[in-house]
Amino acid sequence: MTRSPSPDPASGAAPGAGDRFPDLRLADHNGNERELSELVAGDPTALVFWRGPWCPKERAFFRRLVGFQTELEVAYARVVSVSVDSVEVQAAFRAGLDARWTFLADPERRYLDALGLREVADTLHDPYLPAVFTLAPDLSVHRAYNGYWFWGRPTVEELRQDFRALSREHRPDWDPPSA
Amino acid sequence: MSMGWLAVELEPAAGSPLAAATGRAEDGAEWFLSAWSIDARPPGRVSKVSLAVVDPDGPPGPVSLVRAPRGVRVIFDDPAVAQARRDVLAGPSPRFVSTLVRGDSIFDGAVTGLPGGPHVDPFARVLPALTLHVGPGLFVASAPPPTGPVTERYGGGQPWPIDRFPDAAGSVSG
Repeated sequence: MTRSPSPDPASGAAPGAGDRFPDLRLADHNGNERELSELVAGDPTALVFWRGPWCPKERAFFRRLVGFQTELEVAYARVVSVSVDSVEVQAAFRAGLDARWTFLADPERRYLDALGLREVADTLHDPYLPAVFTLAPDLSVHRAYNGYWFWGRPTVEELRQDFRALSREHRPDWDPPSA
Repeated sequence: MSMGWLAVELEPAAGSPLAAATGRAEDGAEWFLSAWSIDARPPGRVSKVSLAVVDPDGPPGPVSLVRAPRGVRVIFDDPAVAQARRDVLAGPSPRFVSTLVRGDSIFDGAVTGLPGGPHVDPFARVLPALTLHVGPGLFVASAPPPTGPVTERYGGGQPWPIDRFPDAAGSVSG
């Protein structure tokens, strides 16, 4: 797969398959400044942009991800989610779900336009468009999902297939040693 | 991000640790804690610890120290230990946390920087815990929590939350 550099922030285009995702820098649900590359480290990662906890589709989708955690916790794959909600709201929603991944807060909407993910139809909440990107350890995009309509979001099985492909490509011992 | 050794004794350790401090328990007992480079293992009982929680310029603070009593072996993959790691990820984050590892697969305990206010250490449900007021010069003020939701260690014998596999030379970066 050809690796493209990060999209030009001025272009306002959402990254696609093969693009290098920008190394976001945002506060996590505890208020710590985190970099996406630090959070991804050496593992395949699902990067989830979501509208906010007020959206029933997001609550349904996040319940799906919470159920998936029990596989991810033993499979060296990660989830990172981003919305425009404050650190406090991120922490509260995360706790209510029993989610165990990192929630990033972008109340300043620092990356909304640079990533081309502003939901222009919602002038009340001004949120991120729902989108999921499965990332390789070097932040290159394996697959991008447009979640504007709920059925555009990845199923758990699609995430499994993405993580399998990424792990096969990036784990040097995917085929176990023979001696 | 790498691992080292943590020693906790009733007497100061001899040698040149990376960092050291005293810790006073609620019963008044004074413990001597020291962190060592992985290639400078001191004598006596030591456990592997993530050096991400060690800072020779770190401030004082309360710490929950969970340690296996002598003769007790709990494997790292024990369901109780796995659930404790889940609870650490899901709950309010401590100031810092590192499990303690003996050998490649034995859960020897954990060291958790307690935040201000009430805090329950999930690892204290697995093995006995001491609350220590640790002086300056050993532990960080705080360390960012792991990304999650992974609860496994990333290589044989590495303390969680070291969260990447070692390279071919056995080092972890980041």
